[in-house]
Amino acid sequence: MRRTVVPALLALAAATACAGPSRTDDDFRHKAANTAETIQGVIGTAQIAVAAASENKVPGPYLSVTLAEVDDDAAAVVDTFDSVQPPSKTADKLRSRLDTLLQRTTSILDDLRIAVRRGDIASLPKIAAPLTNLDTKLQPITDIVG
Amino acid sequence: MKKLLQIALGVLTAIGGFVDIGDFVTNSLVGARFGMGLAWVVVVGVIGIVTYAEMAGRVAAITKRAVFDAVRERLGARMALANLGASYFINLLTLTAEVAGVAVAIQLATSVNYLLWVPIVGLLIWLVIWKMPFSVMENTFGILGLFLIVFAVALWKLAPDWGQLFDAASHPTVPSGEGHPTWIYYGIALFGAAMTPYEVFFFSSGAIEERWGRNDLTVNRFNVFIGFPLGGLLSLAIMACSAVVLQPHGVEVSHASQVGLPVAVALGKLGIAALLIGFFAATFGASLETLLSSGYTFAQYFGWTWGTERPARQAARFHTVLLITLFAAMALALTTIDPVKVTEYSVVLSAAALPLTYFPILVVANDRNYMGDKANSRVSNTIASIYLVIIVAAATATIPLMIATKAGL
Repeated sequence: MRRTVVPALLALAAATACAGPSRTDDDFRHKAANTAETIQGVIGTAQIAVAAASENKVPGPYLSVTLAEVDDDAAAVVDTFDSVQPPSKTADKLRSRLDTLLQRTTSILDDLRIAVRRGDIASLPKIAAPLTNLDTKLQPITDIVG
Repeated sequence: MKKLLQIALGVLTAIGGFVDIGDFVTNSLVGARFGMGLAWVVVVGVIGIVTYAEMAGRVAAITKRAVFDAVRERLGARMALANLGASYFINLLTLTAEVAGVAVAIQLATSVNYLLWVPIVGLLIWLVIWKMPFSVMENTFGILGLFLIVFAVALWKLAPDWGQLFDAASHPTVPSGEGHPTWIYYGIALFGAAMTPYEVFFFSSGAIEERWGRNDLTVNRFNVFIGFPLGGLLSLAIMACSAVVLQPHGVEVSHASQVGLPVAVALGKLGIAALLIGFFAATFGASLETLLSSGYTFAQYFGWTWGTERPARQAARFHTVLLITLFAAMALALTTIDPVKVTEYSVVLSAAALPLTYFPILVVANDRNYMGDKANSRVSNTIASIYLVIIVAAATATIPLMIATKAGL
């Protein structure tokens, strides 16, 4: 019994674990697309929170927690993507293109976190404004895999 | 008049107590990802839990025996031990998620990290179980959980296109970019969230704690036939709020704070205040229920004296299990394990363990030696048998789908 259960549990753990390295361009494109899609979701959360905050609809602590979590999520997504080995020069280009957008996004999310912790709610819409443009630029990468 | 009050209180408690962190997170996650395309699963799940909870309550009222008593008797000691192990593990995961959920509710109100609140929440849970009478405990958190109606109010205030929402709910399709296995996986998660085994363990054991008899069968029926479906409507409101506000932005729900954003958009700070009270009460109430369910299952399997109404000295082993379980859940929560992920795994694994809990209830509810004239009718047997097939199918598919979809990625 134990002989079968332990390997089965290990197989389950391995199968549900995070993605491994990319071996082909196609696989790398999929990972880039998934990353872009996830970051768009993170941007969406930040935009909803900031829009509600600008109308004085979100209590400070709630907003602070939300934007901190969004910032952490984005950082985790970027870390994961950056750890993927691009398999070719073509993949390098895609990586560089996406990485630029990711860095800009995380920088804005950092600024949002700092502003909300300082209680500077009024400045949030201005800080978050470029997120719309970044979201638009991320869309073609999300659409790579259809 | 007293009876009427008892029924009203029971129904309100059932509505408020229906939603726990599993329903809260899973419905929002599914709404943000699939819109209302999986709303039908909530309906299926609610009919299932209504069918089996009514049976469990009836069995307890007539035979004075709780669900795990029946499990032990009908499955035999070995099979029931396997069920005990599986149920306890799922209960522990659920309790961890609920305790973390209470701490997150306080974090959202204070912005102090939830990990710092976990020990305080654990202490509060223990004090409530130790000091508060069972019925007061059940009613207080059930009624406060009604604050989650704020989701229904928010949905109304968001003024969505109702026709479109209904159309999406009544014509379920797999969204483009999503695979069928992922869609089914989340369907099973919703089903597991609605039919979590701890709910019937607690419901039937609670009936015995409150000394239900034949006269309480009406209360039982009102609780499950009115309270649970209205609780199910709350779940649908959470899903719809996410479908309306979060889905258009492509939000992937991974934090409790995201679940509340539609309420903030619709109702502002007052809405968030109501949401936090409701979320706190729902998760705190569910913490008590899952913790007690762990003690109930152990005590009923081993034949120990159990119950919160008994002096602790008389039910020492029962209380020891509660204490150890609570410490284990707190320790697990303090490892910084992601509460939302724990919730997702607990509801999915619940689905895998459902047959072991629900099959014995159906068998005992049909035994005329125990139940006499209160045994199952042909209608309830038909519905329950259909559900048993669904439960077995869901349980069989859960683990393969978990592997195939990398847990819903």
